Amino acid sequence: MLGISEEQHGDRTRLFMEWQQMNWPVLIDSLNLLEVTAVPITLLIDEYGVIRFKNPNEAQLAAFLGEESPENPVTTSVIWSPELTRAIDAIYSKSAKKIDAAIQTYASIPEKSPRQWFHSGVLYRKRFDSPSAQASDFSMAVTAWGQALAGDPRQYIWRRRIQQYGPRLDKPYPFYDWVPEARKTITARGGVPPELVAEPSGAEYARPGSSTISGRTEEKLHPDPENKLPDDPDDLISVESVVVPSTDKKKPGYRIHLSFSPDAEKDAHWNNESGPMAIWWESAGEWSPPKAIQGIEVAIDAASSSATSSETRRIEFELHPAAELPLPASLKGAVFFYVCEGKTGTCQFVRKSFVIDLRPKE
Amino acid sequence: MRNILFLLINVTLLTFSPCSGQESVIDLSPGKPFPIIAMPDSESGELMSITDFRGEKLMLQIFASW
Repeated sequence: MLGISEEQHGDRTRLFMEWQQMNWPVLIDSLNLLEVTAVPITLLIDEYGVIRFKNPNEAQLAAFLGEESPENPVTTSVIWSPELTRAIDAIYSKSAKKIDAAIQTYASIPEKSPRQWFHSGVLYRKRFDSPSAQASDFSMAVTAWGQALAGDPRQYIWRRRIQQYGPRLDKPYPFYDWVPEARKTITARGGVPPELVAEPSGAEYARPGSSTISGRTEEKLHPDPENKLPDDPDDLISVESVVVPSTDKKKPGYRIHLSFSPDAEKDAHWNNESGPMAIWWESAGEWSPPKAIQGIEVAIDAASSSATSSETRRIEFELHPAAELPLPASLKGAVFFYVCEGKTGTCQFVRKSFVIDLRPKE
Repeated sequence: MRNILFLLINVTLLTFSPCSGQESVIDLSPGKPFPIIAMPDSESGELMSITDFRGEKLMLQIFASW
């Protein structure tokens, strides 16, 4: 037996194998080099490396196992383009410099083919999941994959790469909801679950459905209705947004990923004792923010139970247009939080305004 | 002779230069050889390809954990 996994995150395949007690080799094809458009696919390959059957039935399997294969010592060396060769080398070596260089190579291609867009997305996401992550990497990955899929809509492997981070209405199934169960089962067996490079995000656990956020329904009070708070005058916090659109035009919507990072150079850190961090949105024309996202609180990581911390905080939520009322082209919001500068700096309650562009990126 | 050698070198470079080569077309149909593509093993990270399994009949599952 041999397996080949068509996933962005090969480490999750390893966890899956451990959970399912799959004790045969599984190789990782995050670049979709095999160019399969869907999974699963079963191939029966003879001793000479020739494919004999694809998705065989029982009779074909029996024939394959029972018969001697015709001698056929063929070799098929694959030739890749220079940029793909570079991308493969970068991903397999896990070298930050090589990944940077490969990303630049793809960025310099003026008119990318759908495959080139896909590979570009894989590289951006690899860098996002590494210590060398740049703020826009996740967003660039989603944009690249969107371009790839627009060029080849039959590519379900590429579609799934977007859907795993996207809105619930666009999900065929929950992608990684098995991860907690896998860890529990492996631990119960006395094993140690393999560590993951990148933990699945909320989107990757989310079940398909119409529900977005189940928030509190009681009226929340806007912390600064008259706009008197300073708008992060010392620029202590940076905000990044990634908008993952639905791949199904019949079910429009977005899964929005927000992250908030204290500036390490200024030694900015959250003050966890004074109150929650919450986001408020502005209306735009006839569109009003749904109650579920108005005043939505950004959870504090359980690991950050100390009075101050400096982790990047993340939140995800979904937006779907109401009947006959499209979403605005952009969302204006402000996050309210307590932040301190330096070890002895004063802590203050500030707002940080930001805008999320919902228009499709070119 | 020198001119012929120069011509031969240029022809060789054109044939094998990565800038001029066409990318391979991947075909997983029955009857075709499975392409030799090195990919990392999920456990060890070691690069492996179909050539590491020559001499064995293989059932290959292409899948994803989701």
